[in-house]
Amino acid sequence: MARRGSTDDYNGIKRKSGYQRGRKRFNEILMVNLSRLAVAFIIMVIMVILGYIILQGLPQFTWEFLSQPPRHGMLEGGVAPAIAGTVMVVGLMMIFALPVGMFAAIYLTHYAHPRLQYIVHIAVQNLAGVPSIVYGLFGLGFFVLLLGNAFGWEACMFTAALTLSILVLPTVIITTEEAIKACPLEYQEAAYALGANKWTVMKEVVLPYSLPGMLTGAILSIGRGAGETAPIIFTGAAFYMAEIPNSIFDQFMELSYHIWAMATQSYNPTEATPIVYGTAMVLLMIVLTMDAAAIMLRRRFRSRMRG
Amino acid sequence: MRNEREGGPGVKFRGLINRITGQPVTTTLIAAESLAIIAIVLEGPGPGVLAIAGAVMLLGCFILRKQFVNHSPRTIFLWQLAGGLLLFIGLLAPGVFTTVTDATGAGMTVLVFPPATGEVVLPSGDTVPLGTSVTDGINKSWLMLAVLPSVWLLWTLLFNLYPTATRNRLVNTPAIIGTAAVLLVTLWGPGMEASVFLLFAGIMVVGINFFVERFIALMGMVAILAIAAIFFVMLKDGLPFLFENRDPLFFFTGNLWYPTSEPPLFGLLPLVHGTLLVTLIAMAIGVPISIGAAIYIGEFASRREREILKPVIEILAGIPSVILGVFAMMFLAGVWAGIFNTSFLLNAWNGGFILAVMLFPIITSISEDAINAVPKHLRESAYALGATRWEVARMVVLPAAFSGIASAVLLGLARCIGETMAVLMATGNAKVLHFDIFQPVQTMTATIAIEMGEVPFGSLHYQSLFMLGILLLSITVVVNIVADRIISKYREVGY
Repeated sequence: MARRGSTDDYNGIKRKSGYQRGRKRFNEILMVNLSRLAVAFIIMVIMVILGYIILQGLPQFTWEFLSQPPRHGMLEGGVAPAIAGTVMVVGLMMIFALPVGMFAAIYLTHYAHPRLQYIVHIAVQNLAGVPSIVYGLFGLGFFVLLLGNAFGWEACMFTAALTLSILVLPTVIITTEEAIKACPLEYQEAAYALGANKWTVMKEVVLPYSLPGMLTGAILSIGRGAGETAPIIFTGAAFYMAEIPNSIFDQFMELSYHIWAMATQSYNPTEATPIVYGTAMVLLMIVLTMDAAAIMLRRRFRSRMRG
Repeated sequence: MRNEREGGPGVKFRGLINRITGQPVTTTLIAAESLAIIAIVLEGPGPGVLAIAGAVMLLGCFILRKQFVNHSPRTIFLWQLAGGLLLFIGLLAPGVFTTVTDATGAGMTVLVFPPATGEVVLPSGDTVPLGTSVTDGINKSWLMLAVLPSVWLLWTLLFNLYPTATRNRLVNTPAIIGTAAVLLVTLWGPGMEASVFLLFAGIMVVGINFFVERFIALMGMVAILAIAAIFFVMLKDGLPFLFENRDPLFFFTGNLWYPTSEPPLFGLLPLVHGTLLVTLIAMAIGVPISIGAAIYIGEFASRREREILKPVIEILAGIPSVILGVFAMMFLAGVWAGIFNTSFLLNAWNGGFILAVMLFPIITSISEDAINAVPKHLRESAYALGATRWEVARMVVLPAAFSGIASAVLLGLARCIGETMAVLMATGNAKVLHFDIFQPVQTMTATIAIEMGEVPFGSLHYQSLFMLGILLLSITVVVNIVADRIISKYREVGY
């Protein structure tokens, strides 16, 4: 009889013993199910988080909550100014980030020298990894203090949007880059063969092809920008504003900041808790809608690419 | 051929108009059109009717360009010349025509020639006084009328005299210097309207492509500029701390962070310890589970399972960190108190767990990409030799995908270290150095978030917080560079 771990030569056919085969089968079933357990754990965590927030937040999700400003020491009423502030600051952020990011990606893919491409690629990767609180410090030190003292503005929606746009820039650049790189070389070469300019090829061939991908990146960054709190704490978000800001140089209320402030700095935590959950649910709705739209767009874009 | 008539780039220009403008007719027309629209918006009707006439002529050229193809370039040129002249005059006419009222009280429009003095002599013989602003405007308009066409012609000649190779380079120094000089001179002299006008005239001269491509190049630099600016601001506001503090070494070795005591103590060991403890817990929980999940999704899951699992995990990636922090603070803390019977509700374990939750999507998705990138033939040969699924995963796929997984883990590490809001709400924020995971800690990021609001600008405390930021930035940059190196080395192996 062969020893454990070796093959048995039986009738000229080599095979492992029944013990070894049983062990392999057991190990395989064990590890496959362990990894299945890992996935199940993650899914369970997601369900619990989403379920709990929605469960606690749904009672507050009334029309009054969405359209009324907070009253009574922020413990009653709604979060309408925060919603408006979020929409405004995210819109402003997209106005800054989208053109810059898209043109930067166009430059990176088509115009840049390979060495420059590498440097910019490193710069973008590092920008993507900077902690959000460091963005907040940067926004404070640069936009609010340095530029603010030079041009005469203080912490306001403008500076917050600038800070958020730099936060979001790597996402836009990377997704746009991927979208542009996905355009088949044959289409571009055909356009060049017809005598087109570099920019003309970009404008007529590449950009229309990659528009869905760019849109995905834009929507993803909207979701990201709406959910970030740390960059805007010092660069313009306010705990309470009597009315919706009239100009971009006013402070503003924002949903994620509102969640944080009500959760940690309210003077009546028990009464503030429903407001926190309600606001969290509003923010979650917005972000999840954006993400779902981006995922659907990306799926359609990928199927078009393949087909 | 149409392309030659239009003067497509890369083709030898034939027509006169193309020789002068260097660009296809359509581009010139579009630029001129926008100019006309701006002029009409700024000047309004009146003498601006000349501008409108010029704009209409140019618009006609643009609309009828397809019909113009069969005419000689000279016709197009004459139309454009006429339209452009009318445009010029129409733009500047309101400046040189002035409305005055004579002795009888009737208003009349007179053409005032330079130099405009403080009064004008009417044909009837009366002299009417003019205000200084009016005379200034008249002189400026005549200046523009005289200067701008000649500058435009000069610029065109200069630009077109250059050989094509030099002209089409992306960083075309002579053109850039010339453009900048022209714009600055007109900004200083005739004023901002002249500069805007010349900018659009420049578009007419060199074509929109030139400006678009250089604008793109400028945008491409923005990413580099942004990261450089971040470093610059952090160093500028944080480094002085090391010089103004009487004991900078204490910053790195001291274990008390009491910025408001007398004298203030800035020892960051408790904060670093908080970050490290929370990170350790998060990685210990998050990495095995994430990699296990990635293996399942990449190796063992059926296509239908994969289609459901991947979006669900991406949903987790999209949840804002404040919401996770609220969840940890208000729900999870109670759960842990029930299970482990802790004495502190908010503690390091809570923070570590919620950070692990934030790690799941990052590590899982990148690892799964790495696992998918392993070539099929490796797996198939292992299966052919009789390996089970787990054996294939362990002995073939994981070693092959190892660098991708390693970089995923590193990126997760960077995220852990840099996360602010979730740990701010979940860890309890006590700046104490201890090793009990069920007691509160405070991370570096939370310190910055808490204390920045109440700090006077420029003070030692302010600078110490920026020093913390520098530390965080350096750590994440190093980790990102290492992860990027690993990814690129992994790509070199030939996948």
